[in-house]
Amino acid sequence: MASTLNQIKPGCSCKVVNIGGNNILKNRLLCMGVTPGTVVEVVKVAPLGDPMELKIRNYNLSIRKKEASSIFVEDNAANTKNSGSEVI
Amino acid sequence: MADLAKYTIALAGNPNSGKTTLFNRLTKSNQKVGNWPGVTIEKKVGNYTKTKPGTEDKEIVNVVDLPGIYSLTPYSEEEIIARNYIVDENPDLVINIIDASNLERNLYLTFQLKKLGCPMIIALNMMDEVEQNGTKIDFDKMSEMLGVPIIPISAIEGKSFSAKVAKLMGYKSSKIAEGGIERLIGKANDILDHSFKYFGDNPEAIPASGQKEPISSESFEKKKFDPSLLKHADNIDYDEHSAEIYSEIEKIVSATVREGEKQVQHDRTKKIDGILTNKWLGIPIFLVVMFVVFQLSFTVGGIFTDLIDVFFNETLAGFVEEWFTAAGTSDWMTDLVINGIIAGVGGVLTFVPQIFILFVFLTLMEDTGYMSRVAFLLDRIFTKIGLSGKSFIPLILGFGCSVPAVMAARTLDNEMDRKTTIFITPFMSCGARLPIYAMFVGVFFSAYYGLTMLFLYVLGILVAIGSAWLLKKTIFKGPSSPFIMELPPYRFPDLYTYAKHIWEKTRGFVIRAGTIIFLASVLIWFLQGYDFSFSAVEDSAESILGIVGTAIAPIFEPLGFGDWRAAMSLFTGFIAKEAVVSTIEILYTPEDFEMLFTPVVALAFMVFTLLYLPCLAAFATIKRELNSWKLSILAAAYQTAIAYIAAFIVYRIGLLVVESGIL
Ligand SMILES: Nc1nc2c(ncn2[C@@H]2O[C@H](COP(=O)(O)OP(=O)(O)OP(=O)(O)O)[C@@H](O)[C@H]2O)c(=O)[nH]1
Ligand SMILES: [Mg+2]
Repeated sequence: MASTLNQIKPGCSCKVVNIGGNNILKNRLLCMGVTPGTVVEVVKVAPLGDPMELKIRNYNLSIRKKEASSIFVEDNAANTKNSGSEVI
Repeated sequence: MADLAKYTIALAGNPNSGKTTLFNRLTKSNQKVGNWPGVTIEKKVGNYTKTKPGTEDKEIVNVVDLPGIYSLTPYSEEEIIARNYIVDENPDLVINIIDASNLERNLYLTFQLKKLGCPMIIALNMMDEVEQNGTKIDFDKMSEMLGVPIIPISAIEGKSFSAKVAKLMGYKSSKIAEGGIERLIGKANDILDHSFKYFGDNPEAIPASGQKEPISSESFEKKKFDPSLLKHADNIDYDEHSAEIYSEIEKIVSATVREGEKQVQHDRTKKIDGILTNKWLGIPIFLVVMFVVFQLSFTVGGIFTDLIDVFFNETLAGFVEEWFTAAGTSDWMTDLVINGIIAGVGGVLTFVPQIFILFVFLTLMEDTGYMSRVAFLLDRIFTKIGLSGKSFIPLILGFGCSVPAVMAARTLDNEMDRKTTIFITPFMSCGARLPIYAMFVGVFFSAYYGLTMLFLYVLGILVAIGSAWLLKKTIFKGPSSPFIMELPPYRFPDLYTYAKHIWEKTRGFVIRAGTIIFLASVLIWFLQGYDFSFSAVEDSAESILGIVGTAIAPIFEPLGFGDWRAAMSLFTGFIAKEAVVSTIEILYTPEDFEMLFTPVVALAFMVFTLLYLPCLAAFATIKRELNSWKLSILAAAYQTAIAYIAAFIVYRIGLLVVESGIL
């Protein structure tokens, strides 16, 4: 099922399908490793409701929900762990 | 020195990968490190010497520390500095520092650097953390796959003192990385020596040692790189490109890295964050921490403050007086030394313990990784006013000193956000303002020290946020930039560096007291003792300072401190904020001080000094960073106007409260 990253609940993982938004945002996310196919875990949401904390490629990244809403994901990735991006 | 350098090495890598730590090691420097991305915002040059092979000659090698970058497409000002340096300045060698615990993302830049074609070595840093987890990396294979020599290091290790303390703390050192720095230097020198020869007759003759294939001479045509990399992000869409690079990286990593059983850093970070960024506890903890710091600076700092105070005002002043009287020194000289210099400089030095404790906390925040968490916690508030949570980092640095804080605004991606942040940063109460509050609070609010301090600091933050909102609605209109920030794992601060930072910053204040405050005190003493015809006056109200002050003072009448001495102290405060304290110490007797200020007036005065125009050094920095006289004068005028309004409100409300008899 396709949705956007901001809809994913804390503690859940999903897989990036595509990134929308403007080119600046897109390129920044891409060069930091948020590429299609990457598994992303939503770690938590900040106390005031925004931003979110993500775990991706073995590091923690914080982005706002607004930015997350331009990242399209499929949330079936919980057990299709991509070798390089998730460590057990 | 710098011009004599024969070679230049640039340190390039992701933010927070340890570039500055390595730089400090290589060049025996003492540049600032911290566990958050964006510490270094300028290029810094240092050097080391090596021996020319086959001779006794010494050669100087310049090492350039650069701000961290995630890719060669820059977004913010400090990233542009790094990118431009690597691309335009043609360093003889690039050492690409990689955080080995975060390989995939770090290798992205490596791929881009490789494309530029300059000679390069990879320093695989943080090996201690990698080893702690039991992770194994096949360096040879990785080096072969990347086509770049790799040297595993641990930049923080080996300093005798901290290494010992680290062992005591149960900290594991890295076996693989032992001696890594020496190997790195050796390798760098090797390449420098050889690459020089490549330009000679027979480039293929000398393969760089340890490398599988000789560095081709073509890779030294440094100007030859892919120009499409250099366009601004707006015009490029290299979606495919990034995804491709990452899939190549994944291949390399899966072929060369065997993840260990443990995830020490991640587990630790998760545990700590479970409390510090907890949904309910996160923000209260931040406020409590701030409150505790102010309270501590009062109680613990206060003990030392009293001792220093006694030393200056009784021991030293008494000694000097006796000595001068015995030596028959003229009265004016005695007066200058005791009532000018000792009062002025001593008055400021008295509060060094408070400043010290402030820095113990601020530096801890920077070194552990809490800094980025605070930005994470409070970002929402900043979204509302159209700024990025990243603005909070310059603001927190502003608690220390406005100068580096204003410069730290460079890390903001968006120009309007950067300007707004520069405008509001001086509202954050800097360390130099602490003595002013300490002096007033000590006399008028000693029972509520922590609370009064918290009130002032929070007021500064609120005014900053309100102003940002206003500025973003008016002169700095523009879309808010995306907030994308790395949260580094918590790290135990390197004790040696930690102590050194606190020492450096505290020392800075002591040096200021001995130089600028010393001069200001002499000047104030002269101006309050002599009139316009340079003859000594009995009553300082008739002095130069008194006459000018009396003329100006009515401006401050509505705020409650229309006394000429208070007015003049605000003027000298422009030289350096601590000079307010010196001026008051020189001009007032303790009795006058307590008579002319009431708690309400004292509060209004503190609010004014919190918010009004920044000191000369901060102003100069603002001017440089905004690159506009108009805007910087506007900033100073705006700050002063806000200070006036806020002090007025505080004074009036204070009077009402007192009259109504609530307190
Ligand atoms: N455990 C460990 N920590 C390290 C090592 N090298 C650096 N650090 C820590 O990593 C953090 C970042 O170090 P810096 O040298 O400031 O990193 P930088 O690359 O200059 O960062 P920016 O200037 O922000 O780009 C600091 O907390 C260092 O103490 C290492 O080898 N092992
Ligand atoms: Mg640095």
